Amino acid sequence: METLQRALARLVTVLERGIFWFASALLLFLVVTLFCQVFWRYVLLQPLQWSEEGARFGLVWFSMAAACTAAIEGQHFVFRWATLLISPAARFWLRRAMDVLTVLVLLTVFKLSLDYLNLVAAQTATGVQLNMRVPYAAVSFGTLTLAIIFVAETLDALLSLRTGRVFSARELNETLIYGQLQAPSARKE
Amino acid sequence: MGIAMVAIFLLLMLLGAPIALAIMIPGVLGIYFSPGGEGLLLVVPQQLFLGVNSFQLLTIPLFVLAGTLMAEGGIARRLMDLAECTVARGRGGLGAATVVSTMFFHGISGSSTADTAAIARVTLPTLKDQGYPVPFATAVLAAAGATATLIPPTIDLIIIGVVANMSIAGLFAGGLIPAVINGIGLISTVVYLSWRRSYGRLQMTASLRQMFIAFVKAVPALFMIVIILGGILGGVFTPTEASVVAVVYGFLISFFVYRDLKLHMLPAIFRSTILLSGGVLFVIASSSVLTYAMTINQVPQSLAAALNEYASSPWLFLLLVQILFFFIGMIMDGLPALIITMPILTPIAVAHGIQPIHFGILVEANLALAMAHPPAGTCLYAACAVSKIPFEKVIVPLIPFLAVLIVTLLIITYVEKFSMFLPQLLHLT
Repeated sequence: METLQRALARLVTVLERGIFWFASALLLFLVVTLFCQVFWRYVLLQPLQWSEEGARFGLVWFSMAAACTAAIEGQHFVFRWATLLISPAARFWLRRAMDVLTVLVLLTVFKLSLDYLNLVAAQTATGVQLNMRVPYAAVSFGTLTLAIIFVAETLDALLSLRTGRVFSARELNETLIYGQLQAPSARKE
Repeated sequence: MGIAMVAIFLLLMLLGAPIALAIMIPGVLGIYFSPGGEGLLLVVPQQLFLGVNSFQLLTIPLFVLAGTLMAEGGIARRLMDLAECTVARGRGGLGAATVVSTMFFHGISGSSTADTAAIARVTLPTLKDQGYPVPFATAVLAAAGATATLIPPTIDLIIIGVVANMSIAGLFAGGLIPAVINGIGLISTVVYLSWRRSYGRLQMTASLRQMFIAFVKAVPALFMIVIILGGILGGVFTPTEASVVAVVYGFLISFFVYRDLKLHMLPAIFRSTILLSGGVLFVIASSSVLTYAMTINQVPQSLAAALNEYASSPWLFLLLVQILFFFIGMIMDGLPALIITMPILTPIAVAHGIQPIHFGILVEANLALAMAHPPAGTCLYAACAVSKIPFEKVIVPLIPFLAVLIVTLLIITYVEKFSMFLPQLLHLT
């Protein structure tokens, strides 16, 4: 069981590293593209035709990649105060139910995004002269990667019931945050 | 259908689903169950794409990156040194300098939490040395960090501009005078309480020469404010262009002038930018799906009709909005709250004769208040993390500052001129 957990953790780590460097490269691309736009527009007085559209498409890819990194690190916005009222065991199963629901929704949107890619297959972006499937593929990439991350996290959590060990950074982060939120009442007790 | 979508969103949020998913799911269901809905489902990926395919939204990762570069690059320390030399005279002077430097640094970084943490790291040891109790000093930092969120280039104002279709430059200009009002309120409170409780030293600590040196060292940092504010408000740059100039300039002065920034620090700076931007941008993409579903189900129109029935006067409408955001601010982070509510509430506010920029600023002032107090107070937690004390200890010293911010919030809400004077003067409305 623990071997499987370790394999899952390795998969998530490899995924996280890959996506982090991809997102970093995209961030650098945004900085360079927009700085070129400013330089060409204000210094060379020759505005670039492709920079604005290129940066916008870069942002869509960056958003999806950054959302995946944030998911692995447990950095997405979550409202936790209501679930503080239930027992840790009930909270564990509630989180798993939310994870399953999340995976189902993400896979549905992934399927829809593949259908949408067929719809835009014949379109070309005016500025960067790219086929529109390239920017729209960011949605397919983001939803599928997020679904994989949530599946791996759910499996890790379920396996942890047998092994007693948690490898998921998001789960460890959640435990830490709930510990901090419950600290005042714990101290009173 | 509208009520069902809101109910599903609230239920999922309460059950602990990620907010982005709690927004997306009722959006997908709202589209599916609308007339001709099954055929419309293909707009879900399209809306996710369009939600972030925005030139203005590029400012979010870029200003976050610029702020993180400068927080790590020693700019906060130079600004605090200058504020200490010039403002920190007499009892409460150092507390006042903390408020001033927090506001100046926000004018560069654009992120309240990063701002609070950066200034807290620099000022807390000196505040302790001068006899300010740590809970009081932490309360000053939390309140100053929260109220500085009205100072451009704040991320919240960019989001309000994008989702509610307002001029971002106009919002930046509109936030300045309310921020000064809040700042004056906080400084007065710090000085009054310090005199009453004998916090801080009486004697002046800096000579003219020291002041000059501190000023010279802070000039590159202060020039950043000129680039950002002068560039945007003067109509030279768009906010997006200003954000990339801020990144490049911030990197150059932190790396080559102050030399506090090292290349090995860049991956951590990138990671922090990616984590913060990822959470925010995915909520924006998801909210685009929900906004589409609400529009085709005519939810904004129904809500406007209901609000018109109960709040016929602008005065009452604004009061209801402030109460609503006060409670929203107590339960959830301000950014998702803005993304969900502003596209719906802004047209209703305009129908009541309220200027959109004024509306954006008064909502932001309200959410700024929420950043200073628990349970959702990110600035409070950032200050507590640096001072290493539990937030419960800060609540009592925080109360006078919150009271002052509530009074200034009411002034900003009902005196429109404070928000609209600069945007009108600069023709940014």
